[in-house]
Amino acid sequence: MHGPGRYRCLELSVHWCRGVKRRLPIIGVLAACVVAGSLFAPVFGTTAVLWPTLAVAVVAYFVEEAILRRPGLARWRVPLTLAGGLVALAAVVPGVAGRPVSLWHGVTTGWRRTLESTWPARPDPELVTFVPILVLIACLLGARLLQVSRAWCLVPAVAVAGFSQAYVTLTGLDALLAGLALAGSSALVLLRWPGDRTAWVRLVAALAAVTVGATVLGLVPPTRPAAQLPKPSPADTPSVLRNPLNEIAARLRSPDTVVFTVRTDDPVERWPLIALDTFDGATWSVEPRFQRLGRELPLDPRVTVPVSAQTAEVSLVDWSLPWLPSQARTRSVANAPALLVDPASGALLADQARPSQYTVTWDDPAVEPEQLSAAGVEPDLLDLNLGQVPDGIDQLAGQIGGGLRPSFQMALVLEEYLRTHYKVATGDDLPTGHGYAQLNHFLVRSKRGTSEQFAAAYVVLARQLGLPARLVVGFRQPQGSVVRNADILAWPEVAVEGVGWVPLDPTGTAESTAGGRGLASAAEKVRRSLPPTTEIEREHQSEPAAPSAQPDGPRRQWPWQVVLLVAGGGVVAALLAWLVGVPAVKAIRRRRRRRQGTVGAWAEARDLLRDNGMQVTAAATARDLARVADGPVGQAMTLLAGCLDRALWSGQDSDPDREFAWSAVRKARRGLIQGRLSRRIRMTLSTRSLVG
Amino acid sequence: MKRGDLDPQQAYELIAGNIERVIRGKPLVVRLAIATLFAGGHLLIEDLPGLGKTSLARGLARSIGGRSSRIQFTPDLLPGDITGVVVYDQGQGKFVFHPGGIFANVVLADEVNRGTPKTQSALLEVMAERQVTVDAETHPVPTPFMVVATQNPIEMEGTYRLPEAQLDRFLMRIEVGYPDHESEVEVVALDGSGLTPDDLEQVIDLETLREVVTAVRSVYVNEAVMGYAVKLAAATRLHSSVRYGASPRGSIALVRAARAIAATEGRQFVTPDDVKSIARPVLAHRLVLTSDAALARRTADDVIGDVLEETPAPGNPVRRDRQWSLGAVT
Repeated sequence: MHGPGRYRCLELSVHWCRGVKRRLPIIGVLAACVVAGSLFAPVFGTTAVLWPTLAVAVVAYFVEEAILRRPGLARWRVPLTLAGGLVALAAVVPGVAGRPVSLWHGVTTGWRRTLESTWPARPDPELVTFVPILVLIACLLGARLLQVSRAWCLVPAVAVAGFSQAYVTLTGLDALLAGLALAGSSALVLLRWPGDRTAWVRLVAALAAVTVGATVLGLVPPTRPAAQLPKPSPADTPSVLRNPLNEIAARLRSPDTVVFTVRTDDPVERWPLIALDTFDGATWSVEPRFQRLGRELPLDPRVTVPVSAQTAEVSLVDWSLPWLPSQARTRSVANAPALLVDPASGALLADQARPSQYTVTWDDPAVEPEQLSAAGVEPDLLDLNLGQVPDGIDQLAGQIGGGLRPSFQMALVLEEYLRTHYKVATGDDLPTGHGYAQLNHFLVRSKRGTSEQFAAAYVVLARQLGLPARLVVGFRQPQGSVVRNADILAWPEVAVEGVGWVPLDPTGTAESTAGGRGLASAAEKVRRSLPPTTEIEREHQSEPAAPSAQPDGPRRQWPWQVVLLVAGGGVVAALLAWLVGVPAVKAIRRRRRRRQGTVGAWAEARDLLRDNGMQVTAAATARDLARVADGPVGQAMTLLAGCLDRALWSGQDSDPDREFAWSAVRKARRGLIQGRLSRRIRMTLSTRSLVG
Repeated sequence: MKRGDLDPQQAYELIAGNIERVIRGKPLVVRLAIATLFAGGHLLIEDLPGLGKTSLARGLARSIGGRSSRIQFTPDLLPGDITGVVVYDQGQGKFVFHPGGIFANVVLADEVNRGTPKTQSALLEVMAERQVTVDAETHPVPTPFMVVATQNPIEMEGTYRLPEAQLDRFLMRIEVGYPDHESEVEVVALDGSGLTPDDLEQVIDLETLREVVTAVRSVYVNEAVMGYAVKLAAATRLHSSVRYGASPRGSIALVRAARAIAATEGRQFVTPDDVKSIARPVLAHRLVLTSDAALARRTADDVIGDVLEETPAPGNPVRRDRQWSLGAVT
């Protein structure tokens, strides 16, 4: 390109570069807000958060661009940004356009309802919209503060980032990347391009600090930190719930009633309703901590074996219970209104409207029979205390498994014992009850009962032997898809290391699934190949006890709460030391210097200039500094230089100008402050003269 | 012309006012030239032609009276033309010494680098010892005695670079520099008035000048300031761009010049700022840079600038044993 066209192109390039340079700070502010908003990604999922926050940030940018081109629009910044942001949200967040009131719910109660949900939460507008609204407000405040201060304009974004960390604290690589993204956005705001030579130093220092901070965060185990907001149960959770364990006998009396149907590709053995783990001698109960069911439930980290997903479509027919048929490792529920879930047991509860049909997906552990046979149990998972166990039950427990170590094999031995020594009651005269009286009668005298007594007795005996067991009520899955009252069942589950809760069947009435796959099949195979009890006893006696990782009690955890507390206390102490200590040290220093006369005044003046950001080298004399300083400060420094020359170099022993010198210092101080409070505070709190 | 008892500041103001009638807009150059005179040193003025080097030297000579001479250095100038020669006087029937141009109070060595090294060497003894030895007979030059040499730094053809030994004998090397617009207009107007340096009147006599020189030598120099001057000279020897740094004569010259500067300001003591202000004219011409520095277009002035920025000035607080105290102050 030659001639005028080339210069026109060059001119346009320069114009474009200047335009980009002018816009870099606002782009940095908005980018920091987007990064801060995207830190909510673990709560809602990346897509659910990123698009709405990006949309409001783009709207905010266009408003700022319009103001840049037409400064008269500045007074309309707030209404323009808010209106544009809300329109963008309606376009981006599904469901908002149809129900605008969901935006209001999202703003007012979304933050709380999100805490009541499992994470990642459902991307309902009632929940997720509070994040882009926060980002929109942060963008608005940041853009306004940018006109005042480049440092303060980042405060809204930092506040949103801090708020997000109260929900879920990022650790490891996520924290590192988020920190770098925030630092990069901040760099666009704080650096002055080009020509800011110290900017690179500040940038490198900031990146290093963020990296170190993020690395420290990465060392913290990814568990729930103390700083996280508590996750309450929804306020509308029913306080009293029917215990299906009490209904087993009644349902068995009308066995043909169809309760629900199931459509699934793979065979399912059982449909749990609720897991009961607390027994007071008379009643089995549970205190579920319900949460709103989010998009997906995470797999219990204690399950270390591979899992495979299974899906079934459940249609409720004659269903009166609040509980819904589910699975122990429920992953998600689709095609249903909002549900409640107890993450510990996987129990589902209808929130307001009970669904007639839903699709449930769960994880089925794919464990090898050999692995399951050799597996131990997780004794720390439950409080095994059962109160005052009747002597008959206690003696029976010792008789069954006294020579065995708690293991999955022991659980099967106990199961086999009940299967062979006890009968399942049929007919109309069905025993009821599951307290110690009924269990003692069942185990010692009648030896006949329903699955209610079998399961309750199993759990009591198992816990007496040190096995972590709980009682589950639900339905067995018969051949075919229809589940009736006759299929109601109570069964025990044992917590097995690396596998989680494994269902057992002490009644022996469940369908054999040895030909299938998954956990039930593996358990059945182990059951069939179980050696005689005496052989197992011999093996357990010959083998040394498996070393426990933490033999001295509950599992030790990294005391990160203490670390965080100490770190927080350290930060507060450092802040206090800075706010109080720095002015105090300077006051003491000034008092001592006053006794040194003119020489002290010179040292004080140097430190004043240094605290004000001036470069004061060891080679600089008072007159050098006077030449560099402007106006009244320069005049004061010239006066001080004259005093200093007479005091130090004239050969006189006296110091006649000491008051005059300190007067010059006061003048210099006034000249540096220029009557502005911010300068006074900055000079008072600056540590340059203390550490330099 | 006897002006009675003048202190150095008054003498300076008289001479400076007189010279500035013909040298406009260069108060600092005039001040350095007069300070050299008061310090009893010799002055090397180095700059382009037409900037007033010779006028400054002539104005200085005219202001103090006494004998002044001008030696125009040319390649065919002989040492004897400077120092003088011994010739046989038939009338007296003996050899008689005929003094050369050097026998004056102010000697203007114009275009000194056009003289051959042999001729330039004739100045070595007289500049250092204020005496001339011809045919084993020593002849003192009059006091006060000052050599004001000029040289053009850009014309290399037909010139001979001054040897380091001779450069070291100049107390200061100064550059006149171009005048600013207003000053140049005044110089042009002055040309029309016909005022030349030779028209300047004498403002102090030699006796007064001797007293001033004696007063300048009595100006008080604190040991810390003296140490600072020595540190500056020593720092030039350690600089990476310097092959040969300033000699102890440079340290002495720095303190002498600082005394003169302080005296011209009416002070009886020297401050570190005095030393800093004359470090460049006193030290720069004494440095021999490395070939790498020369290739990198580094100059001696750059080196002095580095040294001034890196050498701690006396009187500044230094941190010592966690207590603030004054370093290098007695």
